[in-house]
Amino acid sequence: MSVFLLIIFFLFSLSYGGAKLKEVNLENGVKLIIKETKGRGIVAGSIFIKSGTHGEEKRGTSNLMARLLTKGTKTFSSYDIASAFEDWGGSIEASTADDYIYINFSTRPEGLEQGLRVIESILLEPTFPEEQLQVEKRRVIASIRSRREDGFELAMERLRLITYRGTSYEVAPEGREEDVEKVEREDLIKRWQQVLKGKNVVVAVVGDMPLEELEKRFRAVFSKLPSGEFNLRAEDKPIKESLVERVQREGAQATILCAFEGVPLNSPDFFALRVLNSILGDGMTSKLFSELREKRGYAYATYSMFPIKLYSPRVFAYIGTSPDKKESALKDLLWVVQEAEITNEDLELAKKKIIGGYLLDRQTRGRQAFQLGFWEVMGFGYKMDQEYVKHIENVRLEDVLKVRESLKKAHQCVVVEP
Amino acid sequence: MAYALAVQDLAKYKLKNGAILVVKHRDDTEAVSLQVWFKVGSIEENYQQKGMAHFLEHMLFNGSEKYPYGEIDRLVEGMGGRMNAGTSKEYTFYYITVAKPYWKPALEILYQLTQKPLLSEDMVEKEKPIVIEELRRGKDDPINLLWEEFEKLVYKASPYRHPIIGYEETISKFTRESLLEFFRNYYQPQNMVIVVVGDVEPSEVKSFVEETFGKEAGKPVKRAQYVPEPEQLENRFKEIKDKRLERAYWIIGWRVMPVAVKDYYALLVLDQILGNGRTSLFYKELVEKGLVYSVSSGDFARPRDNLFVISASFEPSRYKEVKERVMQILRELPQTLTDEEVQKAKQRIINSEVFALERVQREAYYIGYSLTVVGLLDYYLYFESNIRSVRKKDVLNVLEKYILSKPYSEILMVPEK
Repeated sequence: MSVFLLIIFFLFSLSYGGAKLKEVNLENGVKLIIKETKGRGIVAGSIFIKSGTHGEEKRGTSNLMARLLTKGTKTFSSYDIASAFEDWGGSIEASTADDYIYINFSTRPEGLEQGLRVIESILLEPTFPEEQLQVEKRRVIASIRSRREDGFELAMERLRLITYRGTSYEVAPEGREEDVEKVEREDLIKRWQQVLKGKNVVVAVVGDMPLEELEKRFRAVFSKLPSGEFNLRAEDKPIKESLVERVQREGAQATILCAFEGVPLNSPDFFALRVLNSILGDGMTSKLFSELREKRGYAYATYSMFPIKLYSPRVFAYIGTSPDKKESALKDLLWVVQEAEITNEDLELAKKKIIGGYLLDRQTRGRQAFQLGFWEVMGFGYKMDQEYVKHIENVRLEDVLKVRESLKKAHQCVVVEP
Repeated sequence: MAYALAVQDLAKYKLKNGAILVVKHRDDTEAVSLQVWFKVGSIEENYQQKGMAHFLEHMLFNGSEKYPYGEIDRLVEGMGGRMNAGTSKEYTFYYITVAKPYWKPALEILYQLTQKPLLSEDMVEKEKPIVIEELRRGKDDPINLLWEEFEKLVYKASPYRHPIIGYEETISKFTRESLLEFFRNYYQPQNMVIVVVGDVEPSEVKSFVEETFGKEAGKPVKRAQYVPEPEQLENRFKEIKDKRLERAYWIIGWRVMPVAVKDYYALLVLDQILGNGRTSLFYKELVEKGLVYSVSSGDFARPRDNLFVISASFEPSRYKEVKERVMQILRELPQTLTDEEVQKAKQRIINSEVFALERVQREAYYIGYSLTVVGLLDYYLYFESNIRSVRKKDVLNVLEKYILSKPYSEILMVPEK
């Protein structure tokens, strides 16, 4: 084991040592993950509900529902809800990603009692007020439109339609304008009853409070949730053939965004693809940065991403370049992703990048809670938070080269050009 | 002689060559933030130099005496660290965040990066198209353009009216010589603040800094003559149409007191009451009532010719209504504001500091900003007690003196269909 890894493991053990982390499985199926920390007095948590936009009858329903969760309950007004957290310097927000709905909150230990009263009310007696629904619908529609003001967002909107066609991912959780218009208060109530099932709920809490105290308080609230399960339908959409779509937009730059086939979360090659993505597109030593920005001067920004989603895994690569360089930039971007040489040195560097970044990302209790809950809700189990480093370290060059075959099969690209 | 000041686990040293070092010891985290600040930003540039502070920031990553081009990136990423830099109108800073066993090599890298760059001719040429792409990327973003235009509207004489990134025509004429001249004047100990926050021993950091940064010779900095912005006597308005837009964006701003003077803290409390978070007046009255899609407020924390702004996005047809409602809220505040609301706002600001400082890099930034831009560590040290001392009448005084009785500048950007 390298010195680097010994150090990193040591640092991880400091934050995970002894009985500071606990898993509690409630009778209704809710999973609590609780971690005790020491610090200046902060408690932060993430409540995940595995669902996202899967099985929505009307697109955009889950997103509107999540936005309205913090806008009023039978007991608390929108202002009361915000005030319970903001008075302590913290915050509460609810939102929807493709695969889950989440509520993130943070407060000081002195504010937790009131915070939990509010959270209980949000979960068990939300009112989804009609007036706020109309306001939020207008805000969502404006946000859908304004995404098109940005070249990258416009490219991603078009690429989703191509690469995820026919699945729930083909449109972002906000939905399309015409979908949002149709959503009614009854839809939100129905959707909330559909997804708020004990087995779909994961709660991760990290705070400067004794473990037993946190467990007692969260157990009391979350035991009241209904039991049962909302099942997601598997929907994998492989990339069959290559294509490039061109979209016209006013502007000073061309945006190129391409999708490549990834590997599923449960694949033995999953961690190798994490490493490959880092080699290709994370940071100043990445292949995209060194080949396209430093050697060829095409761009200021170029990177790749491998978002973790339950189905239809994809790797995305992006470059923003001058309109006159767009054709060669596209050609060279594909070459970097699919062909450029990868060495052992690239591999080792990428691993360190991932592991170091992973550690640094955990400075706040809010991020720690989110990550613990995220691994659990995505099916890896919360212990992956600790095991991730080891999985990354075990990746070998041949694993990376093998998993790269998946990216070579085909590509789907959108070019936004003035 | 170096001297030290110890408050709250914080040690401040002045090195023999004039450089300042601040070390904040924290044992609640495994991460260490290392930052090197220089008091130079785009307001120091003459017209031919527009964009040079930012360009130089790029150039420093293109090779140094000890590390050839590319090597520093490999070293930092090999420690699992994160490195970057930023140029503003007042300062430029370089930082690495890394796990604590690596603080020494990381500091050595920052030393080489900021004190021993090669600034070679071919690298200057390599960097030009990259920076020009960055400039065009900014122009591609209507919101970025909106803020640039807003500063052009407010500032008629002050160098704040120019964008940090400069202009294509100035950037394309930079040479190794012009960059070196700029570098030698500003990137030296008398213009430098080094900040380290994390689980490190201050005396050990000091010794290490003395062996690296401490070896460089310091000399007085030749500063550009700052042209202050004359008093604004009339309301200003500008409308821009943009084909890429889907909704209207609006900024309205007033000239206010510099950062960290006595009544500045009352402005922060006013800002918290007006536009910060979902408990703010603007959120309640504008967002929740469906008048705007988003709204925020804040000041630029500038040491001269500071600005307080309110910005919002909404349907273009509602501009007049939004502006009238914002003005009405401001005008009515002296009658409606209660002591309790002021108390709550102060508590929110103080409590939210605890969250902000969870990240070591945030605390290091705060210290660096205090020393480099404000010129006083007191801004960081006594922030909480300064907020605590604000009274309702201070908040209303600030509102009257700087906002209600003064002209404003506003810019409206609407879709062109």
